[in-house]
Amino acid sequence: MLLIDKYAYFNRLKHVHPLEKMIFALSLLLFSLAVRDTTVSLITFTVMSAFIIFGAKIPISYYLKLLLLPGFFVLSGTITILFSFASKFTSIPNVWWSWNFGSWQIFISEDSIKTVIGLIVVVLSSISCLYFLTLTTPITVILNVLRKLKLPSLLIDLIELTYRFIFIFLDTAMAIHQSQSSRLGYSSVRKGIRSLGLLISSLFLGVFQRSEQLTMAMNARGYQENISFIDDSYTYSSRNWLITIVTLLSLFFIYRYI
Amino acid sequence: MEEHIFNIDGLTHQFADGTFALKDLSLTIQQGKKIALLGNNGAGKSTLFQHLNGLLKPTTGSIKFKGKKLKYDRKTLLLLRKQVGIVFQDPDSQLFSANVQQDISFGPMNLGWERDVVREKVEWAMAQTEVTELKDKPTHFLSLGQKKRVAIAGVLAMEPEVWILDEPTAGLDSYFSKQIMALLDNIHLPDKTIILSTHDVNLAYQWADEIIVMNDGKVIYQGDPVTIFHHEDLLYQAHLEKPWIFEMFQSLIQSKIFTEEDPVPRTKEELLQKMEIEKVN
Repeated sequence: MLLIDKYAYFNRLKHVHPLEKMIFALSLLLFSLAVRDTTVSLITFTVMSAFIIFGAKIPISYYLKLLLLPGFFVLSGTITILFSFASKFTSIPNVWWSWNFGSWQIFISEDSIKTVIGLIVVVLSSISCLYFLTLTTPITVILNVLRKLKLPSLLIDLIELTYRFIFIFLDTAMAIHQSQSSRLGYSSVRKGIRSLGLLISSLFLGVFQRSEQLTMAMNARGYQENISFIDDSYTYSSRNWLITIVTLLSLFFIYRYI
Repeated sequence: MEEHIFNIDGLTHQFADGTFALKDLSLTIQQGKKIALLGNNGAGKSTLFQHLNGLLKPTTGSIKFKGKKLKYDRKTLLLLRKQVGIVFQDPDSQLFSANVQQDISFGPMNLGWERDVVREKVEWAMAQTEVTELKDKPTHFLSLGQKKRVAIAGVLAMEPEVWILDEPTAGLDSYFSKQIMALLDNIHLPDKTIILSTHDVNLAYQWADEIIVMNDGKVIYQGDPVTIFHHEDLLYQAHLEKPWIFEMFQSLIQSKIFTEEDPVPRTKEELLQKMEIEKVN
């Protein structure tokens, strides 16, 4: 079971209308991406993290763990921006640190530090917006909203089935792995590699079988062109819209006047 | 005259790898019956069920539904599937939507009913199968028994005339097995037909009006649920055991407590009642 998925169903904001959550997260995301301002991004990050931890009651340790994942990519990506190379004889303004070797010099300029900080902050703020959405809103509910917004049903059906299948495959893979381990399939590295190969190949065959069965099951219940369901009814709350508007406006003022 | 729901004539199904799942099978299914389909593993029960829903096409032979030969165009198939509901053996292959209520509403929505009607039917089906409190849960959070009940609810909500259930009680605990069987008795109105496959001879013996036994792609018995258990050769061929009530009755005849003329009891209650009467005599 994926924990991130579980939280989406059992958090304290699950009853909030999905459209409100989507607009809140996406408008802040777009704003911070559009203005690319360090202060705005930092505030967005703080606000979103606060909503995730105090609003939705996601354990802080789990949230930090989630942040580590993209954090790793950001760090490895920014290192290449941070360091620059130039010929030894070029004079560079605003050097913060440099090191000569042979006829070359490696240096960190103040500009690149600024770029890197800006980048990290923007990434953090956008990640926190997306985490807010994924940790508080189940995919099914998001899809319902997208369906109402008249996105092509083919696309939505595809996402829906993909989502369902992730779990079927995780379950199958876990079951195969357990049955392999119980028969000592992973007792040595060599055997482990062999077992893993078998696992992947049988999972692959399983895909085809599953999709065939699924087609049958859907046909049996009168499937025609698109998948339609009745959906849960959520109610809009003016308080939530107010929160969204106030947050956005204050961000805008901070950006404009401070 | 009783109406025939299905007339199957010389149905043969050959898989792509050349093996035969059904061999020249002929069968008539009457409206309003409760039919148990028995047979060893690999006898072709699931394949037959898929044919009854138009999910597979016969290699040779034909199927008539309500007297009309089944055609495999979209319109005919949709009409067939509106009237014939099938619950698959593995609920994971049937449940595809992310949450329970959505999955149950999938079939009724395809029937083109009004949203309010759909909602009502879905709620009714959930109450009948005791899954109402699971309605917002994603399907991957459910246990096998819960998935099975949701799968049944998904077909129940469509209110089909003919029910096909592939091992509905396999993997369920006895409470829910009984629950499902009680549910089937509930929906069994005079005009509804129920066909279920099972390996549980006791269940088939107690519940069915008619038993069909399959072996190696053929029907080897079709008839009342008692006579079959006198045919030792057929039982052996289809890997069937005798129901305990039937065996008990036979041994009581042997020990001269009952006579051959006594009607064969079908349920535990009938048997116990009979023994009470004997004691008084």
